[in-house]
Amino acid sequence: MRTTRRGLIKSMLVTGTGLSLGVHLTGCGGSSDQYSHGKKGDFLPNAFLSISPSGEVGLQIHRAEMGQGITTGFAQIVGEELDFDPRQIKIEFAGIHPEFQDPDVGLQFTGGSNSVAGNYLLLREAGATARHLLLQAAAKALSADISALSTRDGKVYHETQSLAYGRLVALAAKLPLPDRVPLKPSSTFKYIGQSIGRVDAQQKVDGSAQFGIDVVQQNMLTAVLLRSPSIGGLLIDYDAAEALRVNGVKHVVRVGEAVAVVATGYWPARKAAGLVSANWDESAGKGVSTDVIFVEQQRLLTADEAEVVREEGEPFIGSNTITLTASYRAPHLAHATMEPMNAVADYRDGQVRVWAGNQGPDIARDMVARALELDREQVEIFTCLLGGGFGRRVVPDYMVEAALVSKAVQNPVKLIWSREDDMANDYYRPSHSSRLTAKVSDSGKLSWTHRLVGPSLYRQQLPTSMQAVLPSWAPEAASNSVGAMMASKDPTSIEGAASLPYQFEHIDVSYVEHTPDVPIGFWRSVGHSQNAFVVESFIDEVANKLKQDPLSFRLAHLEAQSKHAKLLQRVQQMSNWGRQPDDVFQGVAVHESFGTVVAEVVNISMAGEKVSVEEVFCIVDCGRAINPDLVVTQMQSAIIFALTAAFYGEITIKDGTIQQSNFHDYPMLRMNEVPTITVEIMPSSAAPTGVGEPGVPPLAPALANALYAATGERHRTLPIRL
Amino acid sequence: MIDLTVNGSAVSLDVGVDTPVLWVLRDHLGLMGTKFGCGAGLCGACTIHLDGVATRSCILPIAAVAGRQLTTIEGLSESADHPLQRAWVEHNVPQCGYCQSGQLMSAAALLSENKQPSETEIDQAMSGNICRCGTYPRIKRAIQQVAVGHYDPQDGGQS
Repeated sequence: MRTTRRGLIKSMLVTGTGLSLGVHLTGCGGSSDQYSHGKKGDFLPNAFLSISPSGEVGLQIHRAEMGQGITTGFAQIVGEELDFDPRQIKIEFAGIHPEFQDPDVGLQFTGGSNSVAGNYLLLREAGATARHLLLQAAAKALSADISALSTRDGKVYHETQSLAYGRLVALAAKLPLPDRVPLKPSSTFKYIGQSIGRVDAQQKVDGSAQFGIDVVQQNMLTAVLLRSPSIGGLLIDYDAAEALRVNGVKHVVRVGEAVAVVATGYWPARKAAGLVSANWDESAGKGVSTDVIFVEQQRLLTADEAEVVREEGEPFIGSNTITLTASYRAPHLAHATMEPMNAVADYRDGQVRVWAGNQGPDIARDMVARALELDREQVEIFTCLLGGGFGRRVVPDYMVEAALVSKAVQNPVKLIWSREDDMANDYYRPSHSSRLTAKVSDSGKLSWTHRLVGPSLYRQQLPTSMQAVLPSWAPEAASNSVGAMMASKDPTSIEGAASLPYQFEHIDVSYVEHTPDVPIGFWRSVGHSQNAFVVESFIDEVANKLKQDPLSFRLAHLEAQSKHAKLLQRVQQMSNWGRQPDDVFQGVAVHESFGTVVAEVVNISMAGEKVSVEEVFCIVDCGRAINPDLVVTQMQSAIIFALTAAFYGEITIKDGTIQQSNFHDYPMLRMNEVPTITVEIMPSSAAPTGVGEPGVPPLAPALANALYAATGERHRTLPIRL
Repeated sequence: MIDLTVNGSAVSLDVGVDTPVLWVLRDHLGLMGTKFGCGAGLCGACTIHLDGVATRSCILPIAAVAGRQLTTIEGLSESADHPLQRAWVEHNVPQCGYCQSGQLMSAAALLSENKQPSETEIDQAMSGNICRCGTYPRIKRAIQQVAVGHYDPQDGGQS
């Protein structure tokens, strides 16, 4: 269902009954049923807001808070139009509701750096509608003209009188919804654009913030799963005799292709799981190996058959044409969220409730329902704070597992994955290969040819998402065919490559899908995460081949008024580009993703052979910054995330078995390795665009370009091994 | 039965002697602020104070702490207002927040033995704590701010 903003506000009834307030940030969001079963007397102007007679304002957060700061941003946006201090708004994580779906995707999904970008006007209208009704109510109560009223900090003012919002809710709830609500002019913004502190900070420093792993239900047991050591392995049989003797162990049961060990706590469950001896049929994983995948990708880089995804201009033949060809590759990557996957499930009497941090509650509801052969209405999903998402928690496999275990043992259970489970059972950032050719004629004409080979995320991920969008009676084949249809030109594979911003005389971008049996998923910035590395490194190669300054070369081929050009000019100033001491070397990259353009310069120093990343300069154009300091935090975060991947990130597979298991062999950047990071935000009054992901893509190429400047060695394979 | 002190209160526990302190805190005492991250002492999410020293609770058997004093994030300050906690809020440190209990416990242990650590000393003390959101620059700034002030862990959190 596609809902217009008007339609959304219209379709929300002012019911005169409300949801119970007082659930704070640390709680988990419940179902949409609360809208019709709340406290009598609350004012519900729309799906997002509630105002109680005592003046408490509650906001339903309908996207996942995984650190990116949307609870704060959303509260600021709503608070702005409602004229209510966002720091006083009671935050509640929303249940599933049609009005909370992303209109483009049809799902209540958090991803694509879209939470603020996609909800900015919607949330402003939600706040403005509520304020307008309160003003109308006040006009009636005070027998005053509405134009003589003003609002501030939760009160309506008229001459010397004031009325708190809470005192107006009974009256406001009886008023018809307005057809049209004016939004504030941005010149009067009081909260939007301010760096107010995160509304969830206090709870995250005193240990009270509740993540999925912290949820406790009455009589709950803890489960761990013993899975096949390799991808797609099947459970043949198992012996649990020894495991069952561990004090505290209650059940050892087969759940699908895994053995669930259920005990009174995590430790007895984990200990007992180590005592289960299981036999696996691992034939599915045979031959699924990183080496094999890259050999095949390599072959397809020059295969005749490919989908043309962009073709502009004509190839040309000139005398003295300079030709440059290079191949690049990027590995599988794990998300490695700090909170390992977990979920609490309580199955009883054909109903199941599941609590977990997740990025798509309606996908989770659909998958749990299918796995347990229930109707969607019998599944309730409670979204908690996420101890990191980065795209991993779009796939609700861990929630399905918890629900299955709860049903199997007929008891509420908390399923906790170990770090090793998490590393070996991820939906990885796909591995990718690219081959590029640049030809430069003696008259300076440039031809750019880029062939990409990689798997289709859509082929793997779209069917399950589609199932959640389609009615529950739709056959699985319908959604599978949609996934297959989308696979040949999968935008997640080519994004950031097809959208090459440079103006060349000839551009030819093509894609070959090669989808091995490796689970893949969305990883912070998705296709941009590898394609920006490829494109922005190869641009550097061309500039260097032509003996031109890489930053000037980019500017020469960009539209002068483009965001890319302006950001490059600014980062040139910020970083004192080209004017560094002898032992400092610089690399630059600029990239657009999710509507946001980011330019970064990396400064490295060389002490003999030893390379040290000293400083990263970053400038971002994300339209209007709702909370500038939170934008800065996202850029810092993305840069460190990307630097981790650039230096360390690599998942390798051998015959279906993931070779990495924990932070010793899948390392993370630590405090002592972090460079100075300077971030600027380009002033803008344009509509806001996303900030969670776009800081990631430019980092790896800027780093590789700096290394080239320092050593003359071109790093075309990630991670960069020094 | 194993006797110990947790956040100033005497506790008697009937648990398996090899149970890691982390799971005693979470599953038996309901203290959920201490987090599970790796189970191998590699990430620091489970950091607590054992007799005032920063310790990874996920690999520390309960039997090893009999008779000793444990402090968790819940016991770091009376009213969640330890100078570091306040500095964390002021600098907008937490993102997802999952690792921050461990980060704070490591930082508090550092400052209790070294009131004015150098940047290198901060790096050394904090490099056992992973933050996947990359809040390191702000963690460092928050620690430095508290260190520059008149930090005294004995005075109940007044700076």
